[in-house]
Amino acid sequence: MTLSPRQQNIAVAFIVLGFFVMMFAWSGQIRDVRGREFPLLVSGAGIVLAVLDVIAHTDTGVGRRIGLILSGSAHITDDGLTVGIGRELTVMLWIVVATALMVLFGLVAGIPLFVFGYSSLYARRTLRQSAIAAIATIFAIWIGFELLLNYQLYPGLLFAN
Amino acid sequence: MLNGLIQGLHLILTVHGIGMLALGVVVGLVFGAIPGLGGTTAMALFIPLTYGMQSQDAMALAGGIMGAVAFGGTITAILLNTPGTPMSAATCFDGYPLAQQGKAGMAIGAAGMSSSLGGLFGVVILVAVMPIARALVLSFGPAEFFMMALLGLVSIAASTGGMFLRGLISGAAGLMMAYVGYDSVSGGIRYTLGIDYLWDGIPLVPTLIGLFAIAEMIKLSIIGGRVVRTKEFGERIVGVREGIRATFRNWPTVLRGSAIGSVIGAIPGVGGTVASFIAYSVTMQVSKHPDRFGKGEIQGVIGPESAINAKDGGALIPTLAFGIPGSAEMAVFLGMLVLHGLEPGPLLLIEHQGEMFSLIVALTISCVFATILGLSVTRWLSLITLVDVHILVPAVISVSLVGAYALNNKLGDVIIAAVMGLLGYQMIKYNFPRVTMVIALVLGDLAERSFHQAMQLSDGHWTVFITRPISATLLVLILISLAIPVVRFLLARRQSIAAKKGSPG
Amino acid sequence: MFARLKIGTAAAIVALAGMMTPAMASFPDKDITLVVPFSPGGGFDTYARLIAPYLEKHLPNKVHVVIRNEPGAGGRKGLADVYRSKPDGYKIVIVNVPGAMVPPIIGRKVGYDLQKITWIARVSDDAYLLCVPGKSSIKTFADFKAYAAKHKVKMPSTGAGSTADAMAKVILGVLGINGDIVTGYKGTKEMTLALMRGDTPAGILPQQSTRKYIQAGDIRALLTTDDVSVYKGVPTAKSLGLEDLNGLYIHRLIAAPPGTPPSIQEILSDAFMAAMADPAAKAAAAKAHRPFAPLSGKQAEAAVKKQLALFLRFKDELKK
Repeated sequence: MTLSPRQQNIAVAFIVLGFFVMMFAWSGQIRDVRGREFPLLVSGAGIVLAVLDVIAHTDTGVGRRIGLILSGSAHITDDGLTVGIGRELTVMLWIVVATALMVLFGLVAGIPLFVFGYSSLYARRTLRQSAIAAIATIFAIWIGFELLLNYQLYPGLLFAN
Repeated sequence: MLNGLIQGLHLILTVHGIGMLALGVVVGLVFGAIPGLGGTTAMALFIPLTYGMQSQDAMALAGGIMGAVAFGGTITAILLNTPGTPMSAATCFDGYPLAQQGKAGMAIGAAGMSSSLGGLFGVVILVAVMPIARALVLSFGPAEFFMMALLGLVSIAASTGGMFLRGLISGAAGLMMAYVGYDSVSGGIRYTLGIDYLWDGIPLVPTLIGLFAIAEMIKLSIIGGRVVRTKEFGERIVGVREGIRATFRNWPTVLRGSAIGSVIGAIPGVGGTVASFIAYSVTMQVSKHPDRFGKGEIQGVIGPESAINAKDGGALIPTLAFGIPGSAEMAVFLGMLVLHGLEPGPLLLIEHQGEMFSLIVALTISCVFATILGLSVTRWLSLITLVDVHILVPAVISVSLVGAYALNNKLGDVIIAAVMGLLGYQMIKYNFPRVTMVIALVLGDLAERSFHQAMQLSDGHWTVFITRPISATLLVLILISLAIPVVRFLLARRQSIAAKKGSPG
Repeated sequence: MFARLKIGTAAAIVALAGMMTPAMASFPDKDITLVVPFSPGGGFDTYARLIAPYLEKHLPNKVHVVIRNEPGAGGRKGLADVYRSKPDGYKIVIVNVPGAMVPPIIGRKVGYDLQKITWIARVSDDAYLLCVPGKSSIKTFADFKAYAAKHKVKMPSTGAGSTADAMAKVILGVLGINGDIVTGYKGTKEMTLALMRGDTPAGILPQQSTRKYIQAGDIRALLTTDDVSVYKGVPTAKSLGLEDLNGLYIHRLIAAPPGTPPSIQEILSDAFMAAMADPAAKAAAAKAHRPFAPLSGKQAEAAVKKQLALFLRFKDELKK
């Protein structure tokens, strides 16, 4: 089920509202008075703002007026909102994969694996092109960081002693 | 003083000195350009190298790095919408749209020229202000810091234009993020869920890398194609000269930006990131066409860029006069000074005039040199915007994650960068400005700390914020900042009503 | 047959011995990492970078000493990291005492135990001063006591559990003064600036870094915890009859993970001592106004014990 841009925005506004409500409750548990003041103030303001945001995106008179003054709804751009959730999730997954590869196998192994995988599976390049991209990337990074800057590239959880 | 200047020039203009300066400039440009690395890292890496050198050569290297880093960060900000350093983030707003219109050359040209001029201006201010530096630095206490932080937060929110409400929301979220970790005021630990890594809070640079670099790559990856969105790419070569001309044409903007940069840079603790954002905000607010900002208005590049390098001059004021570093870079620089036996403080300028002026000279030459160097490779660099996205994306993501780790050798930084990348993309999609979040993250701690300090020092009397003259002045500036968008809105409404009345029925 | 067995065993023993001794005799055979649990540019970082090249010079086998900054959690992260590492002498750390001592005393969970760690050497120490702004009307310690009798004394500190905070609390405790500690300052420099501004009427600052401000007249020191009076006109706590405050220092020590073999500890300790005695090193240290105060591993251990005893006496003040 795909939501219209307006519906998506309202959903997001609700999520944001939920976040601030949670932070408000959490802040209430801070023991020291001075440690509580600002967080409560800010998360409280956040709740108010989020509610305004929800209203601003609804198709009501009040909503439109708020939107006009504070520009909440006036600019629901289409940029990316109708791209299709499949493609989005795929790319986001690739980021997770990239991070996981680098964390587990270290940067020297993880980077070429990631570049190769992304190039061949997602960008649909030929295997040769992907391999070249992978090797070129890690080579450049290795030269730049390990050699020139004397940085230790992360060895990865599996290989670290 | 003229004596000192001549001495300084003399010490620098040796083969060694120039060589170190050149090295510093190259290092600065490269480190500035790569997200995650930056001036602080560059200085920390190269300090050991200066150990055996003469002090003035070390000054040349330091000056070279400091003057060039900002421009390096600006180049990636314009070409890829991913600022290499936090302070270049403001340049993205109008720099990247210009690149998308095929005008990357112009943007970089304007940026380079502005930062040169700004840097020169900052140095002039530094030298001029030195005599009263003490009094200036000493008059800023916790109350003033609080007002300064508040001013920063408000200006940024006000400058988000058409996304004010969501800008505030991002800002509030950023503030909550700033409160994670150890709170030095209450001595307590907040929101860490027992995770040791979060004790120091959510780190700024990995967040920046994620929100801007990685998020942008996600977006590019989804949309595909190339960075350049339009067909008019032929302008790239002519662009640079056009950009330089534009800078001179807009000299009031340059002056304004430089002034803001030096003043804010001089206040220890507030930081240069804020300077460029406030400069952007002010430039937009005094402009006759505020609605053009964010879409490729060249003034939106000139303003912040003038501020960035001017702030270096400003940041040296408390650093040299008191040994109180105005920023993280300055703290590392101080370490280097001490290593060379140049103890900062009131006596430094008297006892070591030559070395100090060689630093100032180095900084000056560096700004200009960096610009020349940067501009000469601009033509090649702008080609990046033509590169196929699917080659660019994995490369930039890899470098970003490497950079995030390189910062402090903490695994957590890489994970934060990745998480922020995912969040950043959603923020792009739903029009939540990321900039207010970053600024809030930077200023949140300062604001809260200063407020409680001021209150404790005044034994709980709120009036302290109004009775102290500088604090009161800043408060007035804050109110003006909040008022301008509202006044604008009312004026525009009245004009449109008048227009409707005037048109034939 | 027995002959063969004997020869075989003998050969095995020789081989084993051969495997063991080279390892110990040839320490170090690769680069040593000196971890600095603080950001670059600070006092600990400066000392580490100052001594590293001379350490290299005085270590056998021409290895490099690599400095690695691992800031975080007020220095606890880097320390805990090295504490957990293999005790083979290749990863050592520069430690802030009493900075590292205070968190466990006030009940915080830390990843190390200072009683079990292997002490290698001490690089430097620094005494503390009771200071007032240069422009203050308080000119002597007697003036200060008079002031404190009538007002609650405000003092700056960085944050609960930090060295600055602990020092301020302990000193106020010893003097029996009712104090109001204003936390949130980001470091010694900011605290110094705060005092110069007159944010607070008094403060506790480390001796070395305050020198130039005293010379310039921006800060006035009323007493020092040092054994001898280093600055003109500043009496020692001892001379004012405050024995408890005598010897209240901050130490910069080098440590290695617990269980480091004594032979390796000795090699490292000797190298550090030799480096600090090196005339070129001393000259560089003097130039940077960061003198060494060397102690060997065993001596360092004793100094730590002594200070731990002192701080435990003021456990309650620290917990406030």
